[in-house]
Amino acid sequence: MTTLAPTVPSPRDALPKAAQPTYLNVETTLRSWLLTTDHKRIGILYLVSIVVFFALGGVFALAIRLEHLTPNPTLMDAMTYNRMFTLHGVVMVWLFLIPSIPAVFGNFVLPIMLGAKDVAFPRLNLASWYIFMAGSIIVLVSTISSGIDTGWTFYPPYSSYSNTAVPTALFGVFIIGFSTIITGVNFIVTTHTMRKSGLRWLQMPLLVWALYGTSIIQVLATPVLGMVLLLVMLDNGLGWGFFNPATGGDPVLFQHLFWFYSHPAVYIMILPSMGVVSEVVTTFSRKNPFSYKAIAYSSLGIAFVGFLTWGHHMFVSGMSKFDAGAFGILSMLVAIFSAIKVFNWTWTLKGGAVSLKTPLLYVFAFLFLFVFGGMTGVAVAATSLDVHWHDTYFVVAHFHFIMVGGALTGFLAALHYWFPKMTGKMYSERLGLLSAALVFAGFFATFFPQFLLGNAGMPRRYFNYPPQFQVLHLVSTSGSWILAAGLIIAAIVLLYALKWGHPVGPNPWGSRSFEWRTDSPPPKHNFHREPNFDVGTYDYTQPLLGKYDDPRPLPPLPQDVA
Amino acid sequence: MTTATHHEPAAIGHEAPHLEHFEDLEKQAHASRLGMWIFLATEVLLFGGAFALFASYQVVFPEAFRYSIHHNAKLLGSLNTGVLLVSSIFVAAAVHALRGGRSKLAAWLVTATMALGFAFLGIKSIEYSRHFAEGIFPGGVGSFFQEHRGPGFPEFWTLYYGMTGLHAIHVTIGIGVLAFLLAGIVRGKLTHVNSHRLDIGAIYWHLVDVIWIFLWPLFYLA
Amino acid sequence: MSSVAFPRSVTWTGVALIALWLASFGLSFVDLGDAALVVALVIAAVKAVLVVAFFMELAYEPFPMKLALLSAAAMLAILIALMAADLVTRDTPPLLPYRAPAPQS
Repeated sequence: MTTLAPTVPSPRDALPKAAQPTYLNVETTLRSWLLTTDHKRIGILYLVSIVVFFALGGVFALAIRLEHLTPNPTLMDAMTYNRMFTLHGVVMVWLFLIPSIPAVFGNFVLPIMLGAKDVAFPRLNLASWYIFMAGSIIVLVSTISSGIDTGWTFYPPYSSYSNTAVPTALFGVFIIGFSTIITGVNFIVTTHTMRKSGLRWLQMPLLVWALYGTSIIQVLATPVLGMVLLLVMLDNGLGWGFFNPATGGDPVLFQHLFWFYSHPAVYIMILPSMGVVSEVVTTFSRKNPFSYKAIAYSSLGIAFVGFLTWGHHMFVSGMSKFDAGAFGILSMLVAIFSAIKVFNWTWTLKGGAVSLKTPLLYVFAFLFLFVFGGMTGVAVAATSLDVHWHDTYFVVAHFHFIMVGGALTGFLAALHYWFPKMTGKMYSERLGLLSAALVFAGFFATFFPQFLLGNAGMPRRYFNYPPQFQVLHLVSTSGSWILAAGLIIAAIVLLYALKWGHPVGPNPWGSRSFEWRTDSPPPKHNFHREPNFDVGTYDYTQPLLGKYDDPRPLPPLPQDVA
Repeated sequence: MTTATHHEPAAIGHEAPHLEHFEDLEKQAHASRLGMWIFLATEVLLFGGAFALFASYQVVFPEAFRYSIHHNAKLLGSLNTGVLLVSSIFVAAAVHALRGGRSKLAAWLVTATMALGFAFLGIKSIEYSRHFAEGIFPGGVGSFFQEHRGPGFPEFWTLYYGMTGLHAIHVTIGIGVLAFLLAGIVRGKLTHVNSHRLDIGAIYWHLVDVIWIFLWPLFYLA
Repeated sequence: MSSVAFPRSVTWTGVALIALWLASFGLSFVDLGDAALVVALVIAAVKAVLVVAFFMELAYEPFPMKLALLSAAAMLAILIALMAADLVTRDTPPLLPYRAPAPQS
């Protein structure tokens, strides 16, 4: 790991370590971690737990892909396969993607970005982690006991009588919902009441806007899911048959309520990623965003329009033609707000002094994959096309481009971007770039063939397939291993840096954003004294005062321009 | 590294005028009220999902729903509405009594509110046992559904038990919250200085009332 | 003395709530046909607004708090409207009963 970019040490580094207790070493007992109310430590607790769950979901995904190496049974029987893809979906959606960026990086940087000492309700914040862990453990217990075979969507009537551990898993997801709601309430109240005096709404970093929009969705959509999952739980556990057509029930109503949450849930995953992209793009192009207001307001626009589109999951469910048409048109509105953001980011990059570091490479991956996924999303929002593509690999590929290509790359960009802030250490830039490139290549190789498969008629969730699909499946499976290799390298690079990484100063990227105006890692209450936010969060026209300034002179050095 | 720099807000205890990470008590009170209102928004949508199901099934099975509403315990349900309304008036009065520094009156009013909450649950259980005797159980189980075979009956009564049951759980939680606050008033820890904490509990109690205000006409009247 | 402890708004809201409760109960014995549900729900809405505005004191709170409840109500309206729109405009499904013979054309 001698490939680090040289960092000019700041005067702070000259001080003896003991003189500057950070949030990490102010207390080191296990008890101090488990009973902490420090938002930064809670963010770390979330990070460790969701990375474990992500690895678990990844193992399920690799198993699914291996199974598809041959058209006939390869590794497992059909029932195991059903459980695998269900668990992959449940774990990835509720145990990883929903909490990912808000609970980890939102918790870590949101209060710092607002100049606050903590979130508004620190004890509730800790409770949210315990609730999340309790729900996750219940979900995992269901996987060990007999698994679930309904698919992550839990559609009745099948989920009402499946013999697998459906009630247990639903109860776990139901409990996780509470932790999501608590995080959302906390962020909204923090943004409203804990801003440093004088910090106006339109001076906040764009990540805060994105998290604010996310929190609105979490608060307003999650309870509806809770209600409907509770009903299915009782249906399955007690045999109520509330959604059973035999007694007059209507399973389509379940789908309405389920997607009223689960479609906005996609924006719970992608909006925070968009916030991360805004931060990374401005930092690494050393420039203010092309239009701050457009990016900020489009976050709220996505949050709102996201509530109007759920029916596009139900075009072939028997929903009325009127509703299908209405939902199809409303769904396309999301593309407007997303495109506003994408154009703004690219235009920000265009005029900037771009330095291609690992976070920015992940953001490039995000931009490419998100646009790809978004365009195919507009296509499947058209009812006539969706009837053909529904429940095929085309849809699988589409939402993986958004959820993995968008949300996961955003998560990884955030992880690499704030790693120095969280740990005070720097990872190997060259290996970071390598892992980012592998993740992108592996992802594309995994999921691009699935568009072709779906268009050719390969249905999702099928155990076997006709032999003519084998070549594309083979490419997809190989891609999944490249993706896994990229992720494993990224994990090794970061874990190595955790122990042996080069110490960095407060602001290694030379960012203007507020969280870089304190030490790395920050002290317990985020700032040693009242922070100075006089220079705006995207104002690269003037130097920051004191030690938090960029070690590099203004304008950027030539070698930074890639 | 060392625990010498350990400054937990909990160490200062309840004597502190406000929590450490807030600038002052007013900001803290504002934050907790805002938090409560956002939480109430989630409650609205939690019940909202069930209301949406009710509306949908009512559109599909108007006859079964009309018959079932007619069959429901209208007098008991209406009595319960009054009980909750009066309890709401009591707790609103309690808030103002505490703000005016009349802790003893506030304590009595909160006690009365809780008593009415228990009365509500008692009347509710009489109502449930009467329905059980008629052979009406959730999920379309029981002799009632042998006599009334059409679709829509199981849906109505499942929603009835589900929604009123969930509401009863909220009443129970509300009683618990009020009991906790009552203990604070009696022990002199909750006074006019930090009366915003009673506000929060009262707001929750009122929400439980508001939800019942809508459940009542849907299940008992029209 | 009582004016210190109980503002007028609380007293009058209480009176109005009881009156509306009795009115709604009384009207339920009158045969209003299909309007019965609408009337009952309108009365319920008025009661809810009274409780929210004066008991829960939302009328005196700053705008963001009002917005919290308003957005919840708006989302609920969207949910119910688009769900009900499906059921109202749905065609009879072109499905045959289970194991029915194929239609002869």
